Amino acid sequence: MNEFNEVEFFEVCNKFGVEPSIKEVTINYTTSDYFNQIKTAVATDRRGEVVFCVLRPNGKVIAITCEEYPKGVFRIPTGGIGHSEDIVEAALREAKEELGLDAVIKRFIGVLKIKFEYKNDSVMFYSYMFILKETGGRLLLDASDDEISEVREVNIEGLSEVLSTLKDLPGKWNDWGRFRYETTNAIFKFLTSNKVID
Amino acid sequence: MKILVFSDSHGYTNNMVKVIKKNADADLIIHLGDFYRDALKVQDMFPNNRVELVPGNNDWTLEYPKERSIDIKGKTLFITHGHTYNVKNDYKRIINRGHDIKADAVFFGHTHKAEEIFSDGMLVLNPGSISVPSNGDNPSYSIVEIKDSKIISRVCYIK
Repeated sequence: MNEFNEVEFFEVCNKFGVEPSIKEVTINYTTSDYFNQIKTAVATDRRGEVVFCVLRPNGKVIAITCEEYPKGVFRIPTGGIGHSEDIVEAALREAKEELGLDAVIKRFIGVLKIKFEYKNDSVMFYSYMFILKETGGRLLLDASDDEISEVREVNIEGLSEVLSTLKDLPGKWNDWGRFRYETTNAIFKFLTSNKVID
Repeated sequence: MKILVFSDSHGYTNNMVKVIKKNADADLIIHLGDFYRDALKVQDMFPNNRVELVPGNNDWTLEYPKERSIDIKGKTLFITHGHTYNVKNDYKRIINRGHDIKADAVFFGHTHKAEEIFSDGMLVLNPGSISVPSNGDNPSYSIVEIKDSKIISRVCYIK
């Protein structure tokens, strides 16, 4: 079932002094591959994910790619939240493990409630989105995971390109790309919403 | 008509605020991007001043055009951040654009290096960075005056 924990969500909003922002999206998967992956992940070790956008002092944000992705495909980094794990702790832990950065949370953007559908089956997944500011660590060099193969600093044009690539990936990557389009686009929309972040 | 021209404040508004206070008679403040929100802050702090801005390459906004012409006292000023004209390489493209639209002056930043040249009578002005100048320079800005149908400009450095 993977029910949404409203109490916890409002607590996080309160903690960071933001109005609750909940967006809902349905993604229809065309093949069983990624659908089954997500379904298995939810059933076993994760209830959702943190999407962590690191806003660098130069105004650019970090986009990442992995070895197995099609060439030139980047996205805003994400990491799983365990079934009994704290959302905020997960965001900071993932920034350290995946990127090698110590960070503080500058802004909690809100949650994207995603309903993945495949044929007559569906599963709920929750993406909690954060803007982080790094306070230390060396990008990638201090990462304990080696999943990320390359990072790129992108500006508004760069992130627009990242989005257009994700939107329409060929073949088996298409389902995955549409999922990553939604999370990356939510970050893009926030960054361009003229909400000042110091 | 006295205009203060700033660029590339990159999140630091202290120097701009000092300059604006010192030049209380300025009619217009132009910010050439990076970060556009610094221009908005300045506008909040000095609500009686007219502030015009264009976003830079590190600004997250879709609200403002990347370039525009401002007509003042019969003069056309073309303002843009400069990255879309690749000004870090050379000024050919931005100068051509200025001539194409018959501008009297083009203002841009991006390089963090102040520059003031003339191209066939058109002023080509980069005020440098008011906060994070390139190696060895002091923070800089420009004062532009339009008087007796002439444009007079100078680059000012902050010690």
